[in-house]
Amino acid sequence: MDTKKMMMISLSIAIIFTQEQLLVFLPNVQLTVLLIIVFVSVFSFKESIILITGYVLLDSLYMGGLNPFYLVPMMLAWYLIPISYHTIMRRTTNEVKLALFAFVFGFVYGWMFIPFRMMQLGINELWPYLVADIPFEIIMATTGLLTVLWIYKPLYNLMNEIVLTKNLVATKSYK
Amino acid sequence: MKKVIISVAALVFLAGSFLALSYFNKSDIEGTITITVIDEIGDTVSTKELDFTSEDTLFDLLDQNFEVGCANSSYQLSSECEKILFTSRVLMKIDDVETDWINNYIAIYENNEYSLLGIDNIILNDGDVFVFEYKTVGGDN
Repeated sequence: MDTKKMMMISLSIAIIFTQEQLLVFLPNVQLTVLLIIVFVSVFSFKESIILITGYVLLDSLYMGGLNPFYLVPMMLAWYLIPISYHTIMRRTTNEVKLALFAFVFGFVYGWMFIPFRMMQLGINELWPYLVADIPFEIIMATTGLLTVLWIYKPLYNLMNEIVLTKNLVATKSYK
Repeated sequence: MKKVIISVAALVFLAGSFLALSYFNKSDIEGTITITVIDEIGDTVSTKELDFTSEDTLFDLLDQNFEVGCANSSYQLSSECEKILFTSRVLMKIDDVETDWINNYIAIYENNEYSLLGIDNIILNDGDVFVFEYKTVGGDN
């Protein structure tokens, strides 16, 4: 990986982390799903995994002192985006398909935490936790759907243009 | 056009879900509940019987009768327990029982059942007994 890509990944992590902190007063309302889908669309699978790992480590360090009960499910859940994008989604840039994916992801993200929270709090019953988590999942799913549906395409075009343009500029300047 | 239809459907789904959840989440018109607070060594710090009306919430009753502290957006203890949009406040302190959320927390038991709902989502029924107990993370319930 070249220095420019590393810089772009670092800045992407900073953007995701900052917007999340700015929107922290609104539970589960954030642009993280949108931004990760956009970045996964323009970065390779390996770069996306590095981006998500960096973001999750930073977020867990800041919010929960690298608590494994948050870090592990968060990492697994966010990894699902690049994995799905490069497999079942077939690298699509269709915003409707991606918006529906973001909607489903809102629920999957919540479910991923359930076994870890049950272990952490010593809860044995799954059903009440599943029901209690539904409002948060609905908010995350709807926010993901709406933001991807309306903002994905312009952001993707912008990011793609930056990646392509900067590639040329960087190549010329180094030569 | 397709995007507009999907967006409207999503917003209707969001609004409908919350209307349905609030419909099933109504307290009794009036009654009496008992609140007990248990500290880290298992001693009962306080027990109070409190009357409520349909206007009251469990948090209101706690706030009026105990000194409470809640988690702020960074899960640090704060005396400002402002209502949070869509979700529930996180109780971190009741009188002298203080928790840090990472290593310990306040568990809520409703009629001897471990509550998985937050303080703002629990409905009040006449005769309910609520126990607020200091718990260590990973400990037994």
